[in-house]
Amino acid sequence: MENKHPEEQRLLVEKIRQNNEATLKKLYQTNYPKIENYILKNNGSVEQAKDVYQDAFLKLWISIKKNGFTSQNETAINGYLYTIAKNKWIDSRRANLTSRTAVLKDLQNVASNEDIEDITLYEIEKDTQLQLTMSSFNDLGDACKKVLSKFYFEKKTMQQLAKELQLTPASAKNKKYRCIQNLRELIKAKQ
Amino acid sequence: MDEELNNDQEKELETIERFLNGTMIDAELQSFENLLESDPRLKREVEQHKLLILGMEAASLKMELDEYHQTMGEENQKVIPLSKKKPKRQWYFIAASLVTFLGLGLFYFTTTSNQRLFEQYFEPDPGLATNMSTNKDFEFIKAMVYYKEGEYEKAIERWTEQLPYKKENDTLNYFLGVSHLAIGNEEEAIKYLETVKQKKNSYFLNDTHYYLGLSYLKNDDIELAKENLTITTYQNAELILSKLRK
Repeated sequence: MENKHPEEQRLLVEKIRQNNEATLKKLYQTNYPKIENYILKNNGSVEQAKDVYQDAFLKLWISIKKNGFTSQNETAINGYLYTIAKNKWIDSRRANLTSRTAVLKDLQNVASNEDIEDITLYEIEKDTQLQLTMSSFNDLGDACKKVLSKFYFEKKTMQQLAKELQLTPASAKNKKYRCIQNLRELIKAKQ
Repeated sequence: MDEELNNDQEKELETIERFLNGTMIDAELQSFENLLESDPRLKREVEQHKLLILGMEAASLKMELDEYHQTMGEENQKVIPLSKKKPKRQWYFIAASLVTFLGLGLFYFTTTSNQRLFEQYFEPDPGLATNMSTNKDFEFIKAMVYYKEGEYEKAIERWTEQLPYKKENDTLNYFLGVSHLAIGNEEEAIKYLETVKQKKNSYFLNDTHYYLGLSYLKNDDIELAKENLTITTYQNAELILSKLRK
C-alpha cells in the first residue's frame, strides 16, 4: 500500500472527485475502525464516533472537490481523514482558541510526513451558502432528492435517469429543471 | 409568456451545465467564454450554479454515508470459511441450466400469454428513501426497509397493521398494492390500487395506473388493463399495449 504506482494514486483522487460509489464506500469503510477506536478511547461513544467521522469524511471530500488537494498518496488521504476526525473530536471537547493552533500544527505534521504539497482544507463550517444549500436540499421531497442526486451526484445521463424513473427523456429533463427551481426557491426562502 | 420565459431559463441552464461539465467545445466554448467576460449577470449565474451543484452533491453524499456505515457492519460479519471445499464449477452450470430449462418449460405450460407479458415487464416500484431526516413515520419506514429488501410479506404485514389508522393514505395503499402484486396477489393489489385511484390529486396516480394495468393484465382482464395502461405515461405501458394489439 505504501508504494502504489503514481498513476493509481492520481486515479484515486480523480475517482473521489467523480463520486465513484465503490471508491467512496471503500474509503469510508477502511478508515472508520481506526477513528472509532480513537474516539472510544477518548471518552466518546460509538454514536459520537459515527457523527464526527461523517463530518470529517464530508470535509475531506469537499476539500478534494474544491481542488485544495494535490496528494499523490493514498496513505496521505487516509492520514488526513484520521487527522481531521481526531481534531474535530478534540475541538468538540475544548471550544477555545488554543485548540485551533493545535489543529493546524497537527495537519502540518501530517503533511511533512506524507509529502503532501498543499493543505487547504475547506472550512465547510464557515461556508454558510453551502450549509444553506444542503439543508434546503434536505427539505425537498423524496422525488426531487432522487432525481437531483442521481443526476448530479451519481452523474447519470439524462437517458439513464429517464429509464430509471420510467419517463421519457423530455419529461425527465423537465422534472430535473422543476426540482432545481424548487431547490432555488427553498434556498431563497431561508436567506 | 411565462412559458417562454421558463424555456429560455431552462435553455440557459442547460448551456451553463454543458459549460461546467466540460462537454462544451471548440467554437461554442470560445464564444461562451467571451460572453462571460462581457456579461456579469451570466458570469454570476454560472458561479452560482457551480456552487449549487456542489451543494447538491454534498447533500447527496451525506445521504449516502449512513448506507456506507450500515453495510460496513454487514461486511465485517461475513466470515468465509477457508476450509470449505468448493464443488467443481461446471456441475453448478449444468445443474443451473437444467433447472432453468425445466422451469421455463413449466412456466410456458402453466401460464397464459398475458401472464408471461406481465412477468416480462413487472418490476416493483423502487420505493421511498428510508433516511429518517425527512420522514418521521418510523413504522412506515420500517416496513419500507423490508419492502426495499424484497421482503414483501413482512412489509405487507406491517403496513396492513397501520392501515386502520390511515385508511385514506395513498402512500400506504399504493405500496400495499405494489407489494401484493410482487408476491402474486393481483386481487389484493387491485383492491389497494383502486383506492389510490380514487384520490385524484395523489402523487402516485400515474404509477397506480401503470400497476393497475399490470395487475389487470395478470388477471386476464384485458379491457381494464388497456384502460389503465393508456392513461399512464410509463414507457413500458406503450410497449405492452402494442403487444396486446397484435
